[in-house]
Amino acid sequence: MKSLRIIQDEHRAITAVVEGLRHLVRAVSDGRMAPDHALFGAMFHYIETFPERLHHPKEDDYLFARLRLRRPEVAPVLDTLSREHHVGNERFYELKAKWERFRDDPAALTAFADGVERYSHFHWRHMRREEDEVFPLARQALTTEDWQAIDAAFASNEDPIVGVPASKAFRELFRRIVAIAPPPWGVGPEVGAAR
Amino acid sequence: MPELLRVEALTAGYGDGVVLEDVSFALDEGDSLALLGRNGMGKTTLLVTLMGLTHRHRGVIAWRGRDLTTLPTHARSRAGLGWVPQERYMFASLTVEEHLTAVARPGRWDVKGVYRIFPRLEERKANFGNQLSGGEQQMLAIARALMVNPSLLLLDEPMEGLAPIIVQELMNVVRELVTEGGMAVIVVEQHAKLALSLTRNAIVLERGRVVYRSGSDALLADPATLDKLVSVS
Repeated sequence: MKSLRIIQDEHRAITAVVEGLRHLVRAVSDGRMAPDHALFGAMFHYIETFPERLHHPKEDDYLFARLRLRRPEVAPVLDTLSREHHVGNERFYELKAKWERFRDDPAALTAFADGVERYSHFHWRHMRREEDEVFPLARQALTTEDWQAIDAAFASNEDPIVGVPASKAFRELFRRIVAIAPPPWGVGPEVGAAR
Repeated sequence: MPELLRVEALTAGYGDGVVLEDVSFALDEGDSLALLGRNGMGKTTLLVTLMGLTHRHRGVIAWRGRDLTTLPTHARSRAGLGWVPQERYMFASLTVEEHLTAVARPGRWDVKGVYRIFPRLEERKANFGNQLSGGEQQMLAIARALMVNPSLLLLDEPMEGLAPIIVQELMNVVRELVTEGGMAVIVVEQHAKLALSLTRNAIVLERGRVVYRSGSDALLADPATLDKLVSVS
């Protein structure tokens, strides 16, 4: 069941970035800091590549697929979650477009901030449903052989598009976000308040 | 792996007061242990006792088979125990680099090595301890402990008060230390799931006694028991 630990860890990493984005945008909205678009860009790049390209496909293709075989009655829940992976992808690109509009026009901040709030709630609900509903079922229903196959898939952690071990690249990207996010959210330089 | 630390029937506290009672556990070289329990149950006292800063009433602390109980704190550190206290204890009069070089001992970890895992500290190397943010202070506290090249790292609530992004970054680093560095680690953490995700085994303290022990994965997979034992946040 190593894969469940990996998924939970990935959830935490994704949540840390999404929540970090939410807090930073709130700080910008409140006038406590000026927008740092390099930081926002790094966070968007992380969310775009990590959950959408690597994390969700692994859940769909391995964990959910095996669980569907063992517990057909769970299919509606898994269908909902898989649908949310697609919807989440669309919502992410809508949010990214809002950020790009804000980058060009500061008056678009409110729409961007609202979008971040909605996206973070969506992400949180989705993740909780996976951990609270699907994980307990998976622990009960899947066999040792299932877990071996799922664990192997998650342990390899390869980017299905570029075909190279992705963990190092994401680790570096995450480290960069930590390095440039201002305190208390990261350990980057203090950012001056917006005027 | 050979045994690194063995605690047997340890009873200890402050002065005559007993906080830990009859605590026993063992840790192999390179192994990892989550030390869980609600507030005030003796977790920090156990780490402080391992460092020799409480009164041991009875029991054994064996380090690679040798008795550790008569050694003062600095000798325990020299023997290979690295402690990252909850309070971090930064010195306002020392720069980041001085914090590191002041405690350095030969071994795998040197200034260059800790700057590699905490690049932000290199950027801040000329800053004083009191000029650091909370996240930077915690990074420095861990880096400083690494500079003594410990065989066992004792982490006391390393994520306390830090933002999620920094918590995740520190978790990544601790995981690297455990999986790649071969260093043993004991983690005290209020956020039980975090500690369990970093470790192989877990014990739960209640009123100074060990009331539960299991593999970390098994406890993580049993939310009802975990909630009952530590009221997961």
